[in-house]
Amino acid sequence: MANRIDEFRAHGLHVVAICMSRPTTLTHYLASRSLPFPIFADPDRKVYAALGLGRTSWLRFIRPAIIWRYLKMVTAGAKVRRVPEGEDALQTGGDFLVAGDGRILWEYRSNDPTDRPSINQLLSLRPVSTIDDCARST
Amino acid sequence: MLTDLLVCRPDGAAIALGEVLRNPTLLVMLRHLA
Repeated sequence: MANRIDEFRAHGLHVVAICMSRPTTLTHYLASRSLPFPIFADPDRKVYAALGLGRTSWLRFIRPAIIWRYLKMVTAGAKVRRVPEGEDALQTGGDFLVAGDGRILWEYRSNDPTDRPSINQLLSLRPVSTIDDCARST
Repeated sequence: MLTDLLVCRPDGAAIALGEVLRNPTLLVMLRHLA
């Protein structure tokens, strides 16, 4: 995502990230890398709850496809780390295209933390340039 | 409402999600930190 942020901007899509980390955890995370989009903390997971995002189960993680994906991430250099205090490894996330008035125009609810739409799929989303456009799209 | 919910900037300042959603087309990702 970070490597292709210019394509999102050219496509008229502005990106923000929300995670369940505490602000202090985010500060430490961002000190070691810069992200080309804003990232916010939702340690109480109110946004997650409002969007109806639930938890997966540990059984989901022992499926071969999931183990294979984690192994690929680790061999690609991803670090295995403990889940920070206050965070829930089983909390699922998602990707949402949201209009300025808060209406959700498109959503992808992940079944597990490795379940994500492709970058090309996200880039295929239709931008909405005005609230009127948003009204016409519904 | 979703827009009333508070999120925090990395510096700890709280901000309403509605203030984040000022752009008509915003892709919001809810993720674990990698």
